[in-house]
Amino acid sequence: MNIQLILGFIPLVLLLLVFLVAGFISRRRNQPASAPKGNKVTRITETTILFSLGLIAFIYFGCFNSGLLLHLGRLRPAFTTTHIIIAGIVIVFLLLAALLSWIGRASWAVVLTIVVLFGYSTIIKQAAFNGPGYFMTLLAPENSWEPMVNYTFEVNDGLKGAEIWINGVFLGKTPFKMTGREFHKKVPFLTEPPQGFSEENKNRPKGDWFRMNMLVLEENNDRSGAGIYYLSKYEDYYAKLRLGDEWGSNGIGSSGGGGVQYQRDYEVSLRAHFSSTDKLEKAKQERFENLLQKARLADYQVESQWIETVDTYGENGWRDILRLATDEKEFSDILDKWAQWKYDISKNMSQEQASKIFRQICKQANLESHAGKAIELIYDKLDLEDLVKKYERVIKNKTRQNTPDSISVMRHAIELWDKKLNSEDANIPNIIEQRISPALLVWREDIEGSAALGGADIERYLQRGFQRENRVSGLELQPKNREYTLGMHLNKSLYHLAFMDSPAARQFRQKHKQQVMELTELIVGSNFNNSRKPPEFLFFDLDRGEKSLAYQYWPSYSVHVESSFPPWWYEKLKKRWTYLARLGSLATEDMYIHCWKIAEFRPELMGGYLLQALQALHALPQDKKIPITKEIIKELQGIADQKRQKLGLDKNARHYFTEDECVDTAREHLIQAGDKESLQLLLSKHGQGQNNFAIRRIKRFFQNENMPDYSLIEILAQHENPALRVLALEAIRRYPTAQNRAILEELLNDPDEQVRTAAQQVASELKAIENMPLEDLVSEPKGS
Amino acid sequence: MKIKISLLKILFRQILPVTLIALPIGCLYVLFTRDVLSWRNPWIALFVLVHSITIAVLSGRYRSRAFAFLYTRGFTRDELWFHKMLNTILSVMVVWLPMALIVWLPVRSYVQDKLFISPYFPLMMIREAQVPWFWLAGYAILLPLFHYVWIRRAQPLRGANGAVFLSIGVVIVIATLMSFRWHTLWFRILIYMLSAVMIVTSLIAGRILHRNLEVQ
Repeated sequence: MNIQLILGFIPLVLLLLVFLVAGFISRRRNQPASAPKGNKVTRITETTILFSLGLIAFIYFGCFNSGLLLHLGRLRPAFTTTHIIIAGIVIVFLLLAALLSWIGRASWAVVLTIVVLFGYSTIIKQAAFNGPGYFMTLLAPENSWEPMVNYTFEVNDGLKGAEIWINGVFLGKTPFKMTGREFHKKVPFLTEPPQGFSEENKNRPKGDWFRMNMLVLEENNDRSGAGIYYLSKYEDYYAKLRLGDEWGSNGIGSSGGGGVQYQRDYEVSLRAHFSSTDKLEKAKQERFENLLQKARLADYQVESQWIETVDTYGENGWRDILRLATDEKEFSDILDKWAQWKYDISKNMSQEQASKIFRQICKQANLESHAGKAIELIYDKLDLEDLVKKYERVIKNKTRQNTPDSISVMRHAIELWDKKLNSEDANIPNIIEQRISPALLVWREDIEGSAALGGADIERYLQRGFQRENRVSGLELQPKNREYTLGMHLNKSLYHLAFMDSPAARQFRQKHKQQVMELTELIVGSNFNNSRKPPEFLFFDLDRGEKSLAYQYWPSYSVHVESSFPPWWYEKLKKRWTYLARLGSLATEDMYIHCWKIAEFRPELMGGYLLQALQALHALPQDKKIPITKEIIKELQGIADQKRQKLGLDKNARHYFTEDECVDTAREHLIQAGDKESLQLLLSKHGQGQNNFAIRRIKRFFQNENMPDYSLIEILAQHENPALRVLALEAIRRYPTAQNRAILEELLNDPDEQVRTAAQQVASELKAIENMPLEDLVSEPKGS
Repeated sequence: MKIKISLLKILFRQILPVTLIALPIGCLYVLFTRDVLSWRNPWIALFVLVHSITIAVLSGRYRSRAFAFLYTRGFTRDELWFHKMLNTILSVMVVWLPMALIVWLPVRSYVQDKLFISPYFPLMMIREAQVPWFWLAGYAILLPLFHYVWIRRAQPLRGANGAVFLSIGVVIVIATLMSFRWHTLWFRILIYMLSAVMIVTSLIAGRILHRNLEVQ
């Protein structure tokens, strides 16, 4: 039973008592019965006040305090009608109360108003999880409170005209939308897969059918407790797709989305291969690849027409080039040029022009791809004082309802400025730390945002908070001193100070090392952090050497990794090595080797897993990476030799144990790391003949997405075996950088005819790409 | 209308005890409360309510001999009403202004910062600066209404308890609105406008009805 009605009367009763004691209310009749019940003035006054009061309370209850009058368009029609009828009845009663007041019965009018409004509030009050309240379930038609569900079906990211069949029912041709009720009326739920569904390979069934996760509503009816509420859950459905006469193969499907209270928007995304579209997609991918090749052939010095062309590939093109930029840094400059072209940014642009672009991006309020990059290019041209003033105003005025969409754009520019100013001199307080950081704290109570920008104010705020409350965690902390994170109630001041990267925070961590370590233990050991990710602040003071937090915490961290998820040995090894790699020069080779020794290495799991663990060493400098890997190779070889010895085999016999494969994997890693010695060893051992072991291994590197190291190509190109020189050409064809093209020039005059022919073929292919008109390389050429 | 200082003095003397009690309570609370002051602070709201009730009750003891004496000294009803309102403003100012100055000057911030080493100060001083205006708004809404209540009760008319109930309703609605922090701008504007309507109505009606006051 809802007790709001009863609670609502408590202040009323108390106030009546106060007014009675104060003599405001007389217990006996003051005036004779013949006296009139008020005059014109009293009636107008009391009715006006009552009306104003009733109106404020009605709007508050009906629109804000769990009332849905502002969201009627999102409800089911029957539920909307119920809400309107109830609101209408309330309005009638309020008018009746106004009438009572007008005839001099203001006391009754007030009582009626209060009873009606609190009753209204009780009736429309939502139950747990925004479900309908108990009274609403009695008044509204059954199930009218069920959230409206809208499904949007999509195939292959916007493919039009594809037929969607789910559980044997034809639903429609893309693009189309459907309500949840329509869907469930049309599509039966199948407990068993439909005929023709193949379970042979759950991920990629051979038949047309494929299993998909469909988001559906789940009603929870707990009328004695939380009431009725709706959650989203996944159910297995079976779909197949058809385009024209062709059924899609290797289909997959999923759905996602969410919504508010009474409306859920789910997107159903399905994918399948169609030979017709696959061809188009492949051709598009080829055009994009050729476009990239043209950039490489132009030494990444692309013209505006190239940018115009790549722009036709939109967000996907941007993301692909961004991915390439990790290995080919020059692509990062191309992204800059792209953003410059998109927003007409010039190097010597004026402050006014920069402000104009900034306003344009603020209007778009989207920081994806070009816009985010454009902000990075222009932020330092913006008037910082003006930017700070505007952002300050937004922070001060921002409420839950009127947050401007541009706030993230402004925040991005502010953060970039803060970073720049800190890099110039971190010890000088900057305008952002002096004005934005305190404003976030004062007006938004955004401690995290304030701490991210730093500054004396937030530091003092947190330090004083810690002085008042220095317990690390627990429910005994006052709610205002708690930070709920990773399923724990941590000391808010301690938590944020620990994560701050500033000289004062650094001093704090040194001074309160015990509490910081205790906090670290809680964070790393939390059940919500089962990957045992170490907190960033551990690595903020590595310059303190062995006194640094990360170094001192290493033994505890290593112990925690034992209980980490996933529980496989190579994952644990990877975590430990990643931690050590972050320690930089503080981590000795022995520490890495020790990790390897305690890793409970299981060779039967094959070398592929070892390669995954070895990738954690990528961040290390060559002088450390190579000896550590070699030490591991030595260990593995020792194990394999022992096995051979037990079986009475010759030490050099190629009896292939899994350890041997791991050794090869580790060598592969060394080669990829640019270790010439390992490459030479591989080539000298297995590099003879046309299709030898070394060639197969190296081909595998080249199939990776990453650009092969130049030294590897150089060694291959100079190798005496022509087959390996041809292999080098394969890498050159894929990555025709200036350095690689120089090697190609040499191979065009190779003494071996096979190599020369292959080189000429690569050269002519590259020439053809170079001469390709850019208009043929757009995402969707005319007439395609 | 000319301000009569002697009348004002007599009226103020009636309210002096409550002012002498309210002033230190209000100032000490504002000075020493450790949490950041906000418009939703229930203790200050209660303080404003009780202070307003007391001012209205002390000004409107229309059955007392002192009241009857004053109303037979030759002042016009409008003069008396005007001076009572002036006296009310004065009484509120005597309490509200020091409390506000403690916040604004910033005595509170200094005490909290230096004496209590509060994490919130001097940082939150700027946010607290707007809070005294909400207290004043509370007085502005409640006092005209409470004055209307006693004037209405002193009329030769029935139904006086209706005005009392109405003022109880106002208090309940204010308390309800205080329970929620994020009122939208349009709703806030509506509240300001309707509050202004209530204040103006109470004041005009109070002035008109005061002319027909029955002094017993």
